[in-house]
Amino acid sequence: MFSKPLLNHTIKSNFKLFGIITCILLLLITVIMSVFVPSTIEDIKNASVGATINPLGDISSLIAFIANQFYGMMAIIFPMIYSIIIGNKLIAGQVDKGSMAYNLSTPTTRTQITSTSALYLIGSLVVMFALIAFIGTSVATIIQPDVIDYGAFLMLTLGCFLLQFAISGIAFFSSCFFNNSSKSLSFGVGMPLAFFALKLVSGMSDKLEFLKYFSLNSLYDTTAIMDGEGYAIKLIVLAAIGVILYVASINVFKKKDLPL
Amino acid sequence: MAALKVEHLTKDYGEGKGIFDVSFEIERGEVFGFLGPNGAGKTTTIRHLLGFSKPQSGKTSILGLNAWVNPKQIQRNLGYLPGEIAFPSDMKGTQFIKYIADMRGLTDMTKANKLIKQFELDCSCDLNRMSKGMKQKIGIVCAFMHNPDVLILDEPTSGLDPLMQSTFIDLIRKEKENGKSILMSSHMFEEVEGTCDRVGMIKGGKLITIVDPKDIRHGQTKTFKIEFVNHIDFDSMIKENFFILEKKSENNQITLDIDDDKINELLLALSNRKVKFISEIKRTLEDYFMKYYEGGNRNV
Repeated sequence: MFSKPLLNHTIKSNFKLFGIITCILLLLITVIMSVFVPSTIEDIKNASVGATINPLGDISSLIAFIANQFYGMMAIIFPMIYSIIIGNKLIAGQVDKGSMAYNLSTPTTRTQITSTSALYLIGSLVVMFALIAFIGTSVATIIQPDVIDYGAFLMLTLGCFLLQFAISGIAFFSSCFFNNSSKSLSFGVGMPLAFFALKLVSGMSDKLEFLKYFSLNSLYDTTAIMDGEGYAIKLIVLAAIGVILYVASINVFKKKDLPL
Repeated sequence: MAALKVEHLTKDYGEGKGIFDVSFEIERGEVFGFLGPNGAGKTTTIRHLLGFSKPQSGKTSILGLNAWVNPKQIQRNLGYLPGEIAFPSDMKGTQFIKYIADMRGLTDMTKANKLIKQFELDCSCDLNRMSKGMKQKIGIVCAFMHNPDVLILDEPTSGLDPLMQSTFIDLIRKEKENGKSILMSSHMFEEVEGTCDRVGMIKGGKLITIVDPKDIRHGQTKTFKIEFVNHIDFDSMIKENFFILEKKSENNQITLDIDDDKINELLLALSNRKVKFISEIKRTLEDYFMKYYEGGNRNV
């Protein structure tokens, strides 16, 4: 099912980007967990009193700040960039360049190649978010114990992972479907970016709120997670979308003609 | 059982591109040359043999296994050298060879090391900084290192210097002696002429003919280049009933084809004229091929 040498090679050749993205996110969560102690949150809240628009969203508590800022923006964008770049590189990049011919001229099936690549992409996201959860809770426990709702934080992390799982599914499917790296990228970048923009715009005004129904990102409902209800079904849908996309990717790649 | 078999293979990419009803077989221990201009369909055929493309109709098989259905089993006993070599950019030559060996589950590196030595390959530098020739050598090592029974080599000597080309030809001869079956595509005539038992010529996606290079060299018709001392002899010679291929009036030179049984007529005609020199032009596969290549409008 999987190819160990290919997995080792994939881990090695993508380690740099994985490291950079993961470090940025870990640094951000560490800073947030250690800087935004209750008194600071209070100061920010007072400073923005009377302002007509609050660009930071609900920041009345640390967990609200994390939900709106970290899991509303940073932890969406950075892993998305990672998924898109790696997703494209794993299959379409190699087909386009021609180096896929070398993998396929060894006793390795196409399904072994795609499933090993998918395993890497999903696995690296799991590691990324597991590290965020671990470092996030650890820092919070050390600096300001009992301030944060750990359950909500972990659920936000899991939800964000499932969103990234679905997004990486789009990038991976596009990579398996197209033989051409630029086509794969334009679809693999275009879709997640459009979803992100729709979600962003839908939050700006009531008139545009309907746009959220067209965005995959709306399934990751941070407000519902904070409220503690009505989020589970949405997360299950995200997981299902991811699974379907990955299975479809492997099937598409198995049957298509490769210009190698 | 044939080592490699292509049966009525058709893949139509539209606009006349693709391959149409291509059939040939390679016996065990045979070296088969696959000759054709760029875009003739050589690589498309090879793509089907490796299971990269699904035939529209027809079938390709290697060692009795269907290439589209059983690529994994086939690859254990197949060596492939791609026409356009593309390596992952972030590896050194040694790492890449090791990686391919791992992917094959190959632990015995004796043959790989022997090939590295034979081709004077220094594979310690980054793949993307290597010259075309060096990449080609790495490709050769990867194709031969697991000692496969069948080899598919797409333009194997491109990028190699003449010395390495002859090293490569020696390698092919040796593999052939060991009973390996080899398909070698090329657009270079010298390459296939010296090594192949049979040569298939492909043009416009159709296999035009399969020839034995030896038959061509020992053909019944010979070609001569003759230069005359003066223009009068040149003029009168043209009017004689010979099959003249080319004439250069500025240096009184003609090139003609003559059948062996008519050679005396030529000698007789020349005996009345002042000849500066006469030389035979060796027939090569190239001439034979050019007849088909220029063809289309000629007699194909």
